[in-house]
Amino acid sequence: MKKIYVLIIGIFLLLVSSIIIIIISKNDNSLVYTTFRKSYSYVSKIDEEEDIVIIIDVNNKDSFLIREEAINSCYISDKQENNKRKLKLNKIEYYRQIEIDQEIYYEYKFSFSFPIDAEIEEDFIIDEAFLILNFSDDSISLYIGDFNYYKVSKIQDSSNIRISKIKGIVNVVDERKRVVGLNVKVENISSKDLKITELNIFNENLNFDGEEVKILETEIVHNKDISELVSDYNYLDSFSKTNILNLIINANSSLDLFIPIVYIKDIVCNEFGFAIDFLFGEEKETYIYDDFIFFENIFYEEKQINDLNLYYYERN
Amino acid sequence: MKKVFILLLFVFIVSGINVKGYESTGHEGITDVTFYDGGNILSRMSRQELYSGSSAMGKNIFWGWKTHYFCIEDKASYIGEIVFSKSNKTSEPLPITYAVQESYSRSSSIKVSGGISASIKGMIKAATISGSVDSDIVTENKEEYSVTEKTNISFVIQPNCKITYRVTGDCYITNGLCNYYAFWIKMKKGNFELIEFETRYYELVEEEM
Repeated sequence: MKKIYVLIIGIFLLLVSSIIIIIISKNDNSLVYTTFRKSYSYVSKIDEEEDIVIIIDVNNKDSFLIREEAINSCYISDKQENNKRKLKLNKIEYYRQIEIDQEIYYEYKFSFSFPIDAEIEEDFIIDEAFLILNFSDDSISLYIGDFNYYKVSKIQDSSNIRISKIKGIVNVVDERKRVVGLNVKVENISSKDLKITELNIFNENLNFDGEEVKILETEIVHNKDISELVSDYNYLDSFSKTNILNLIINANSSLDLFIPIVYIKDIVCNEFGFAIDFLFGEEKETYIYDDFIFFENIFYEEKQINDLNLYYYERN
Repeated sequence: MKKVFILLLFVFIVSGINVKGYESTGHEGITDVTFYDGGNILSRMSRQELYSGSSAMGKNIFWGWKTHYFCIEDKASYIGEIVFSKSNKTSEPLPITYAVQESYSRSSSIKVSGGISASIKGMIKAATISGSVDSDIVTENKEEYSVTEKTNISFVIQPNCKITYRVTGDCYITNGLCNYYAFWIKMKKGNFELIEFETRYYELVEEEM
């Protein structure tokens, strides 16, 4: 009888320990992770460190992926790793919990920066960018979207021109909310007339449409229907548009402008900087406006969720 | 006595009375709401409107909660909080850099009043109410998320100008009244309003003072 008890207790202990081992091994070895792709767009001064935040979703809060000490090195790279740059991981922070296909995922904000080693203006552009995280015995690669990173010598630095209002006009286009134009008030603070000649966005996939720039007489709301401002607006019609214009702002006066934005491909970019080229007399100047967040969606859109790639990881 | 009264009045006028800012919507950080296709928020409803909602509930039930909705997930635009505002009263341009990293992006804001308890949770879609309200006090519960990206905004404020960085956006509003019955007797009554935020738009404006 005593032997039976010992046997039952033994089997019970074996079962409990097996379950614990399975749970622990599952926590550490199997993982589903992903990120919502977007267009990353940064512009900063040569001597300034830019904070690059990438949100990664994991289905396991105990995963190795979210342990800072487990990450040996990290890079932003193209698919073939021909063009890549080392990142500095500054911190990983828990952000929030979301549900994808009835599964719970935990979002973590990975904050990176590039080491400041540039001495001249430069850019680092990758059309299909991957985040590579190297661990001691393995590495993962995650498609994050497109990546646009610019270093410039001057930002918002001009004694002739300034911007006193900025907001994005956001419409739902092709199932996603997108910035379809900017409303900016450009002031000529000099005592001479100046001429705006060119407008550029610090993102390779976005362009201003210089031909459809409008001078506004009244305020427009953030979600103003762009078809009321630009007839036949097509957000993917970038190649037929020009960012060249010829707009005179008189001395000590300002213009409240609506500037349409067109896209080279189907992306969403909620934050970017831009440049205004102008002629002041015979002299050409460029005024650069820092990254600005135009809008944020509190929840992910349906199309984003449908386009999501889930990555399955099994540690050997 | 008259002199004391005049003295007190003088003290009030000179010192000023510190009045706490009041938001007409009743939701913290939301200064105005405009429905796209008509609708109203509770704080702007007349007694008559509230009474008509109460009447529309009809007969008492044997047990449990009974709800009347004024609106269910009606789309509206809102004017949100001012993230920062800075003025330059000097005669020189003032360069400043503001790091937007401590601002919070809420997913929802809910207000309940009256004797409504946590059991209302099931009645309001996607609402998050924790704790209960057992007395006639107004409470609110909200989820808060930090902003997705940290960003530095650098600019120069011209003399005698004020710069304001503010948030507006789109949201969905659900509000209504509810009563709790036990043996056909109304035991508790109250109202609720849920604002679910969809989008935040950011805007930077400089104005002359």
